[in-house]
Amino acid sequence: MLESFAIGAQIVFQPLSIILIIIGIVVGIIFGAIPGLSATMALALFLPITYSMDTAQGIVLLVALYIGGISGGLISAILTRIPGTPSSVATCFDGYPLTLKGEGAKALGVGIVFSFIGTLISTLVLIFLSPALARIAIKFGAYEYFAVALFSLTMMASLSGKSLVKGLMSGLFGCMLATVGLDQIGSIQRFTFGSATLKMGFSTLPVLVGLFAVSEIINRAESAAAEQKAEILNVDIRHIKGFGFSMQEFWSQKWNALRSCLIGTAIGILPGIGGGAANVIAYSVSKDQSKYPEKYGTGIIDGVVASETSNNAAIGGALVPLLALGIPGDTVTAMLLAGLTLHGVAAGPLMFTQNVDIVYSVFLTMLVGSVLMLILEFGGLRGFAAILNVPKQYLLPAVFLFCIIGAYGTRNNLFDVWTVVLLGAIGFLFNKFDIPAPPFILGFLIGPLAEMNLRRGLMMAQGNFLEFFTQPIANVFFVMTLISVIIAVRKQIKTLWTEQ
Amino acid sequence: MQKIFNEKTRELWVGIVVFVIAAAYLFGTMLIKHSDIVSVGAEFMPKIYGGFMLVLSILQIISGYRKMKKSDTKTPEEKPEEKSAEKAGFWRSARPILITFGLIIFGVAIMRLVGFVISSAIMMFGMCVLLTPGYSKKRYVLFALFSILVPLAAYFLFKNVLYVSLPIGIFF
Amino acid sequence: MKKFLSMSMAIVMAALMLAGCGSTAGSSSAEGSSAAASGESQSWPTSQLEIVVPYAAGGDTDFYARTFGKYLQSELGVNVIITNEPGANGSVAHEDVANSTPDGSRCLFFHDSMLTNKVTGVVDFAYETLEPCAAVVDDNTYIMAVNAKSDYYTLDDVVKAAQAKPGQFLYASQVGGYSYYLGRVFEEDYGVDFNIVDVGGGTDRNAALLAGKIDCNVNPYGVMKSYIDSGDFRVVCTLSEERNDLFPDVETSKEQGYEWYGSRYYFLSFPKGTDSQIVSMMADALKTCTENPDCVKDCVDAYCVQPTFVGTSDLMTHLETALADFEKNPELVTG
Repeated sequence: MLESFAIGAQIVFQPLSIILIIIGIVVGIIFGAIPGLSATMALALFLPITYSMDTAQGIVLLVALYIGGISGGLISAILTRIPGTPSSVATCFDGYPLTLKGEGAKALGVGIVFSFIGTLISTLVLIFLSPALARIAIKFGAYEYFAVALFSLTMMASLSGKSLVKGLMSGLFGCMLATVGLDQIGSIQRFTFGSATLKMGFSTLPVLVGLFAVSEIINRAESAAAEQKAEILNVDIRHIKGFGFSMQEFWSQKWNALRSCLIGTAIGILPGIGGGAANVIAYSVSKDQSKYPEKYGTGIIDGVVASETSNNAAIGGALVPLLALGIPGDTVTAMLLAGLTLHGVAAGPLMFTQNVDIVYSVFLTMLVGSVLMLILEFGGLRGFAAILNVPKQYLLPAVFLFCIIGAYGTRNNLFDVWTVVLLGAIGFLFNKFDIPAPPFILGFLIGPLAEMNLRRGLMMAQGNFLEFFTQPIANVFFVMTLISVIIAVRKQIKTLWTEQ
Repeated sequence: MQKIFNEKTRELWVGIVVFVIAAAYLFGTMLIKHSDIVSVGAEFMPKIYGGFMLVLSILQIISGYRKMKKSDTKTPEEKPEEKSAEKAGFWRSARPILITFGLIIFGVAIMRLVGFVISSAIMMFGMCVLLTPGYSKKRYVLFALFSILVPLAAYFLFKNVLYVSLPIGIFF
Repeated sequence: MKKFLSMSMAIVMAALMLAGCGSTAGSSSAEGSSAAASGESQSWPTSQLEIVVPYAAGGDTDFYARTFGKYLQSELGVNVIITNEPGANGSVAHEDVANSTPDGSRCLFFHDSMLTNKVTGVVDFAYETLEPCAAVVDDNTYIMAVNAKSDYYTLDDVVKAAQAKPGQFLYASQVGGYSYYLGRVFEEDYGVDFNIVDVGGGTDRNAALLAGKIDCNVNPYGVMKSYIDSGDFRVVCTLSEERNDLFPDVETSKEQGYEWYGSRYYFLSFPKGTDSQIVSMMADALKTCTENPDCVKDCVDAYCVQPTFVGTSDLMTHLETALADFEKNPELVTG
């Protein structure tokens, strides 16, 4: 292994490569931080640029973009309550309340440091365990994915807040919205009413952007005229010490971070699910397991830690099946796969032997990149916090502009822009009527996964649902689902009891 | 807007609206073509979602009704002057919401016609005005400059440097 | 502070605008330009060519589009950009290009799924809304692969296993896909009852076969090459009449006694009404690319496929015949 690292080091520690990593991280952070633009878009745009580069260096750039892109999302999530990328949705839940409490810099610092930790730990897992883990990952078939999805859906309960009924309605609404379009198995039209555009279905980025960004704009518009004095949100940027939080706070998060890291890595390894789902699931698990769940959402660093550790861990996770077996773990690694193919590199089981240079370049880029990301974001911390000082009447319209660009850019269709508008209305109404948004997101992301795998599994089982319970891995998750449901029901009964 | 539909009846309204949505959705499931490729068709899960939603909405209606009854006994009936003042207040606070929303809808609707830059400029200008807090002066000239230059810059950056497609209309 | 910020922003933007104006003068490109006049074909291509791909970046359609786009760029001397418009099995991109201005600046790169989309009812039109120009890839590298740990060596073994336990032999394919059609044709012609299951796209199917969750996988050789090379997969046969030069050790279905052939055309189309001169100029350019040894090498290296040029009229014949075949037996397409 050491010789392989040496080969990788020869590529990564060249001055050009280091420059590429820095560029990749900086550009990635920009794309990640601006709502509407995402890591996927960054890679799609830079893919053609890598054609003329050396294969390994092209991959180095793309991986750096990935790291920066996922890590950048926390900036706008914490400062404006608008997630920069789908992977930072859950960071808004506690990140923004922290900003409102005047602790925005702390939230940023926490997000940055734990993003680093997430990347680091998942990279170590990637380096030492990928072949073994990849072989386990492919054992996850339709039955197992269905069980995992079902279990994840039960998280709706813990994300529901005060009213379980409204939380479940929100979650179901997300599932329902995701059914619009063509069904994934037979391409049968659902809720399309003969419209060509509705056939496309709703895409994740516009949905999230509309839900958060547009609803925020409408909210602000409502209260702006009545505002009589400035909110004391302006953070004192000159007195931020280090990363803005103490060693004690750091150590208090160790189990939360470790658990979120494992969740993120595991979700990343499973092809078909990525950082977008990881951060929401890690957040709700963190809340469930916490000694003070009622504090989640009011502005505690635990929420930010859970979300940011897991979404960065998902990067390392997604690279596991890609490097070990040539199977992409999420949409971004699918781009990496495209990059490899375009350079004539056959991604597959032989990569570790035939393309050691690329594999170990990726490893080292992850390690070096995460350190550089930490340094760069640390340097930028004060700058990021300064964003809070930009008047909202300039900041939000600019954010809106990029949301339109990003939304249109998903599929080059105005339908995605209309989705942003629609979800803006929905988000606003959710707000007004005290309907929690997190379950909606979970339902929208995981609902289709559950349905597709249920139907695929039934195809395999020839219609016999009992077949689902013959696989050990699936059974583990089914049991966890059952436990989760029982806990949620008990909690609800207790709440109803105390209300009487 | 704070008193929209009253605190009293808000929960009830949520239940009713969701009930209607669930019913409409279930109606929509009947239009889904059935196929036998999989033992469970494309209409199966939507029916389950719709069904659960219907049940939940009924639970919500019940709890919303109870809440309404409870607060009825607690608080005295409002005087008619209070009610009309409430209504006026509602429209006063609903106006910026409706205007903002209308602005966005208008902007997106004309995007195909006049192009990305112009429609974004219009939307951004409107937002600058609408989002300025009450204590701050509205700097219309600055807003106009901002709303025109930023979309233009973004247009050139994305279209010519990064080759990202943007909605282009007659102008640009 | 606010004033300074906004002022400096304004200056920066103004500078950018001035810089931008210079470079884009006269870029009356694709979107929104006036209708095609016959004189325009003389100056085709004008400023840039946009190739629309109906799938997200990463797959083989995207790869071929990008590869040919690269060589077209040097051949035609204009900027070629690739736009991905995934959705609704490729029908979104199809409709979008069909509705575009037919001035030769925008085209669609798609394959035979354009036809199955009509049969499955996703859309109610096929190539009649377009001017098919030329095909650059005739992918005849379809193979059947099984897990190397299994006991299947020939199609006879497969048939025997399938007939022994009807409905249990797991054949992976997504409904409406080309390999689905191939599987159903085989079932009908040779009296077997597979269990055709959906396990996802190309890479997912590889994962499933690797894990032994499915019994066989029918897909182009290139999609499974790395697993064949590593010894994880075994190739039963190719779905063709003649052996393929790039992997000559693999028997053909014909040699094993089965007339079961598969091939898929990847072709470029313009919107209907595009000037025929533009179409033929593009066809010529594409032909040159398919003969370019670098282009050939790229395709072979990536997917073990050799580009084949199929001209406009031959392409139309293929499309008409193929669509008629599909429409004759729609249940073989839709299940």
